[in-house]
Amino acid sequence: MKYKATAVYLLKKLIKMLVTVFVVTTIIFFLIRLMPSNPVQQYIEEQMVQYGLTYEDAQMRASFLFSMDLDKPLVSQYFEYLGKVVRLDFGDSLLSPGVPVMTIIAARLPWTLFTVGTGLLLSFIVGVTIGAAMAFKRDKWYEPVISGIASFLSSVPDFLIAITLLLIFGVIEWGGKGTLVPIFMLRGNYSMGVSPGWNLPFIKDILLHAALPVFTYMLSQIGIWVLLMKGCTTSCLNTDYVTVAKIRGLSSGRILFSYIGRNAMLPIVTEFAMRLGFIVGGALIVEQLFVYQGIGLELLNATNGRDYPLMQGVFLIMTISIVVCNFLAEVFYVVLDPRIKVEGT
Amino acid sequence: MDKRKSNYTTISQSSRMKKILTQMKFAILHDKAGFAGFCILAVIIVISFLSPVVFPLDTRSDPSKIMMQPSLQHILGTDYLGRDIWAQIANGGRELIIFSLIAALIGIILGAFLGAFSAVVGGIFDELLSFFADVWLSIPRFPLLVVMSGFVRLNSLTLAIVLGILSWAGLYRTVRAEVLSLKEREFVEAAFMQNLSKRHIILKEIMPNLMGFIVVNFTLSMRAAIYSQVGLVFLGLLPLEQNWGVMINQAWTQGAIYNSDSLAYILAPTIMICLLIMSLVWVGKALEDVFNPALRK
Amino acid sequence: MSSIDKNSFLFQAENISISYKTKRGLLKAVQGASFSIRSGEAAALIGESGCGKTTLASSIVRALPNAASVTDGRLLFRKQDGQGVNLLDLNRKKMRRVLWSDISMVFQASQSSFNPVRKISTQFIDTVKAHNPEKSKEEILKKSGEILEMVMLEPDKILNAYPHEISGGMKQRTLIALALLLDPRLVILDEPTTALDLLTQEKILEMLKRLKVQMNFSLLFITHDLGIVSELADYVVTMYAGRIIEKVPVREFFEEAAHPYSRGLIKAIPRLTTENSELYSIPGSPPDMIDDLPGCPFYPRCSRREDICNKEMPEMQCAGTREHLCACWHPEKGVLSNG
Repeated sequence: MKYKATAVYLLKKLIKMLVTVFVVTTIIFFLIRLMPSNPVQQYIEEQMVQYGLTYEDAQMRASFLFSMDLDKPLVSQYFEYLGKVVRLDFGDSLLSPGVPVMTIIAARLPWTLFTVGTGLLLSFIVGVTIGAAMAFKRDKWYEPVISGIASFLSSVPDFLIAITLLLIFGVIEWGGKGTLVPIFMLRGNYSMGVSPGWNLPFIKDILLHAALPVFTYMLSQIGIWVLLMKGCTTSCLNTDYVTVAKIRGLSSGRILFSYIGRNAMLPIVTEFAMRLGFIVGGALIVEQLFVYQGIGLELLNATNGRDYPLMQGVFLIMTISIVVCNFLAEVFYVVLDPRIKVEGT
Repeated sequence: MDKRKSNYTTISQSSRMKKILTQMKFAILHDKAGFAGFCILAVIIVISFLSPVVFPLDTRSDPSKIMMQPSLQHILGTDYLGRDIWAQIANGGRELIIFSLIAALIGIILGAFLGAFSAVVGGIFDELLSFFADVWLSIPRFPLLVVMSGFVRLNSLTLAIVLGILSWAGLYRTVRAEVLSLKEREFVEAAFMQNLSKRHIILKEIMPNLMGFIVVNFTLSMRAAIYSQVGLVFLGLLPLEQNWGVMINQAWTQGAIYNSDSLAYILAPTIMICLLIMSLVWVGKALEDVFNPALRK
Repeated sequence: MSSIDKNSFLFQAENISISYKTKRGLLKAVQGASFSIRSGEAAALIGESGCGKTTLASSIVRALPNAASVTDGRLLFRKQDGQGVNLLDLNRKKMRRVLWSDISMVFQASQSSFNPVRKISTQFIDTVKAHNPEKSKEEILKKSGEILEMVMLEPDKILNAYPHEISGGMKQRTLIALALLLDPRLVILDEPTTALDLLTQEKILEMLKRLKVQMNFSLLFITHDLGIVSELADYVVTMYAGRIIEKVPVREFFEEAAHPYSRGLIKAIPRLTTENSELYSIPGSPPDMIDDLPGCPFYPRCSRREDICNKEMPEMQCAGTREHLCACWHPEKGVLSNG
């Protein structure tokens, strides 16, 4: 009986998720078509002026590139657009003619997922461990120091951390012997002259290039996990059921795992799932600093080059991943916490 | 058993002014970090707003003075165009602070009012608006700003307004949840029964509970606004007016970052931004304690 | 168990003092408390809120909050083999073995005493496995079922449920069942019936009386409700402001309590025939326990006070029969009138 209610609840959340994507898609569509500096119109005019095309020819080009049929009325264009989006067809990039937007995204996205994802994972594992440990050491001198550092790291913008790391590792010459990391390691995904593929030199090279970005992401997020886990663990430690568990003679290990851990992890795991979604959209400035060819840098290049289909596609992908991960977080929460009463809203 | 008496003497007998002053004194002094933050913030504000008079900005480039090390004349040295770095630092905070303030205030006013209104009115309006807020929160903010700058020319003021509008959803959700729960609580019912006017109820009963959330949200909004302003300037998507982000942008585009001689140029604005944000966070936490008596130790 | 003389003590608190570290200074929650419990006996610890009863009881099972610590005294407990041991001397490992299998405690307001994300059965299994890891799950669940039936609950329903799915009264009974799971020799109950309605209270009292005989354990229960005391207790220990001021068998307590405070408590019990205007309450309020005053703590409120009461804390003296001890310079004598 409970499972049915849960299923209904999750179904509602699923529908909400789909509606959200739908709304965002709509907003983007109308943004592009109806904004004052309408990129479609701009493109058409540009084509007419630069290449001397007629309006019809320019419009045909535009409709192909923007994956919209500009002859038809707005409403049917809209539905066609929706149809294409569902199939993940965002049209072709303006700056790289003939290359579908989806191809570019598929090429760039994994790099961002790799670096930001690794950073998130590392910050989670290390942060949660430190946070849990700090909860038990509230009276030691180093606890407020670590909490202070955690608070600092979580408040400071990520690109400032990136800059500091750049300076420490790439610019300041420690002891007069040159920088810690050679300059070419600070830019790009991999060095020139290294052939891509599943070979060891390439993998080593990737890891070296990714080291600083990953470190940046890890540092900028670790503070949050430390503070969150410390708070959750502390409030668990003060509960009645932990006190009673102790006087029931349970071992510290069992209490830690099954009583404290299980309860403290609930909000933490859902937070992790939510943050997972924001990975894709969170890397812009840092990627610029390290000239890391990920999806964030792609969005920046697309914006600078007024490559509207690409901008559109990337932005939509970012939003979709956020929405999907939020939904996953909801699923986690309902599944993990038996207290959730899933009566219909 | 532990029987604690209240540490705070009753001040309800003293005059209203004295009451406010005592509360302010408590707010500033009771938390060490809060006090430090308050001092740092005060210093930054004073320097930033007095700087046009005390440390005037000289934007002419002086080739004879390029990239000088710190000296008595130029406390932080000079940049790649020969300009004094300290003057740039002193003048760089003003716009950042003003526009972040505008963005945060707009966001708070929008969020709080919509949230309270939505909770009180209820019905279809409330359901639609809260659904819309959830959708809104799923949209990544910084990429949106980047995309927007591709369509519209942004400057600091328009950015501040846009940021404010974009950030309504967070506080909306918190305020709505709080007002909804307060609606049910006994003391509001009691106030109704005493025939107190709606205005009194809102101001005296509901608002005090919300102040804690508003303060937290204010700090967050300021942080986000600073991030967005500095970030967009760095990326070249915002016109290069005078703020610390400009210095970082210049350091990047001119390759000065990689030059170990010009460390001050890149480090100084970085440190200033960190100081500004940290002092805001500390003050915010201290204020939160003030408004939330339940948190008082 | 057979080697224990029926008159010998199972548990004895000797001169226990417990203090809390607070911002305002050291708060002496319990001072010089001594009392004992025989095997098979039910002792009631009574007093106003804040007099130190829960603190004293919590110290026995090491459930004191971080800020509190035992500053003096011994807690003597007679183990299965007849050996006496000071609970305060045991290291954590040894204490863990004693906890729950020899001494168990059920706290007041047991609403959140269970782990909310685990089923009740898991928590019962946890408890047994922590002491007897060799027992199988089936054995444990069978025994749990038996005990749950003894507290008048349906085993299947309770064991398969999560804590939030059972009502307050049922949770209280489940906790009592859990407390009895390992056949302890001393069970401590803090306000076992306070949060419950009268009918459930009655049921639980009956149940406790029956179980005590059936399973032969000693009971220490804390309460401020004298009605329960008369039903359940063999022996009454009165506390005031952190000090034990009277120790007396139950019948004598109600008929001839010697300490003015105890008399005041009994007088304050409303009777069906009492009229509104006649409701009695002891004037004044308990002292702030940070101030360390030399005399009897009840001095300001006592109608029988004299100068010496303010200067020196009275010792425990015999008042009436041999088993009746009272700490007062001017204990009341004579039978209490039934008003």
